[in-house]
Amino acid sequence: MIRSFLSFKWLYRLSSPKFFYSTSGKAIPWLLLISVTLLAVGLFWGLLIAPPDARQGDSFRIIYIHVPSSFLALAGYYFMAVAGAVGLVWRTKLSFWFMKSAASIGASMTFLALFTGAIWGRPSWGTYWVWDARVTSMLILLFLYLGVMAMIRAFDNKEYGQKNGAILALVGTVNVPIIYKSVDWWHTLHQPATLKLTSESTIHIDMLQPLLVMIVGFYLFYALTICLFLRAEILYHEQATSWVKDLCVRRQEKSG
Amino acid sequence: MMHPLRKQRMQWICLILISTSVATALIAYMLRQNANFFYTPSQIAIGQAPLGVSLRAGGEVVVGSLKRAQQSLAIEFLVSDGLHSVKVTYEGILPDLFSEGQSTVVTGKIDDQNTLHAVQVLAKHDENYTPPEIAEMYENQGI
Amino acid sequence: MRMQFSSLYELIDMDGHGVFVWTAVSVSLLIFLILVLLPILSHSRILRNIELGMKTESRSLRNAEVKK
Repeated sequence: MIRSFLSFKWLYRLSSPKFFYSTSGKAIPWLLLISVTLLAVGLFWGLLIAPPDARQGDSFRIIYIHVPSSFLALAGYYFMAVAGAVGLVWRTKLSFWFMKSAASIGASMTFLALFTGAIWGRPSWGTYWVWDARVTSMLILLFLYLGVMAMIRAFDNKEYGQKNGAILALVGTVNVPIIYKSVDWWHTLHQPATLKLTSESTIHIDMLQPLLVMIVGFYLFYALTICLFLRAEILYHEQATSWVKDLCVRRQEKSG
Repeated sequence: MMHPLRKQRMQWICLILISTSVATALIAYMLRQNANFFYTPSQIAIGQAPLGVSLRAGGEVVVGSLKRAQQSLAIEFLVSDGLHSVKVTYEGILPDLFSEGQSTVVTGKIDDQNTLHAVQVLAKHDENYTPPEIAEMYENQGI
Repeated sequence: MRMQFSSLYELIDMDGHGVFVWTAVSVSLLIFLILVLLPILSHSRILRNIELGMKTESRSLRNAEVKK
């Protein structure tokens, strides 16, 4: 059991479109249930129960969307780039489709992070937009996502487009650590990180708890949307295969 | 008439070109904004900052230095980085979080008196989030 | 653990910050809804197309047999 886990056979099996399609189909209801519950609890807790910030008052509550979406915007870029790299090396179709799905979802998350940041900036900084290092590098991330999305779709030869998209995604990973360190490297308006891996977080525990719930909720929601996007992608690319046709026949029999 | 498939392909390629060139332009713009146009009060005090050019400066608003005009929204205050301070004048609405003892980032031009005439005043807040009661408790303890 | 707001008005207003907070929340919910609905719709559209293609395929097969 352990040996088969370590030999990555499970990963190899999961990279088969048919196997992923049926497995994710079983996971989707659970992912939906758990992520929606966590997001509802986190929002209720953060917006209604958590105390306001001493200096910023209630506008600080935007943190409960801004921070999780920024996390996913950055982590999602690595997921996308790693999938692209796997596709380039092992030529697995599924990883390219994963990359395509991750690009759309990551772009949405980046937009959300920028949008909520702009709205938060008005009451706290005094402006919606400022050409600050963190904000600008985040905007570049959005354009990188859009560039990868466009690259995948730009060529008649799908394989060629996917390869180019993967290369662009890999080149763009340079930007992620720049975003992360931008608040320390430049004189920016954006405050440094609140949640830290190596030292204690600079947020009160009553405000931190709902934030952690929201972050876990966002990650599960991300997994859910990846499954949904990837299943549509699999169905589209595999429509000529026998297992998809079998699936349709069984569906028709079921519905009569 | 262009073949619809080719037309679509051209559109995607244009989008790639636009997005990558916008990205590079933004990088260049950010580096200029941040590296060359940000000055600390000390740099301004010793004359390192150019006069009459739009630039940004940041630091802490010196406690007790904020003066408001009676008739207008004009204000002046000192911004300090701990070593030197610089006089800033501004006319307009201040952000809610702007107050003495807090950080600020101002954009404007410096005149020959080394006074910065700001066109934008922004409040910078730190990465700490505390409930009001706890903040009050810290204040009473003198932390 | 207690509510920070004593009335609905207070909750919506949030000391004047309500406009910002609720705009951020509603736009986020909208994007989340789109992220879920978009793939579900395209999934069912692709499925319908496949089934349509299978029907016409089997019909043309039958027609070919009749002609024989």
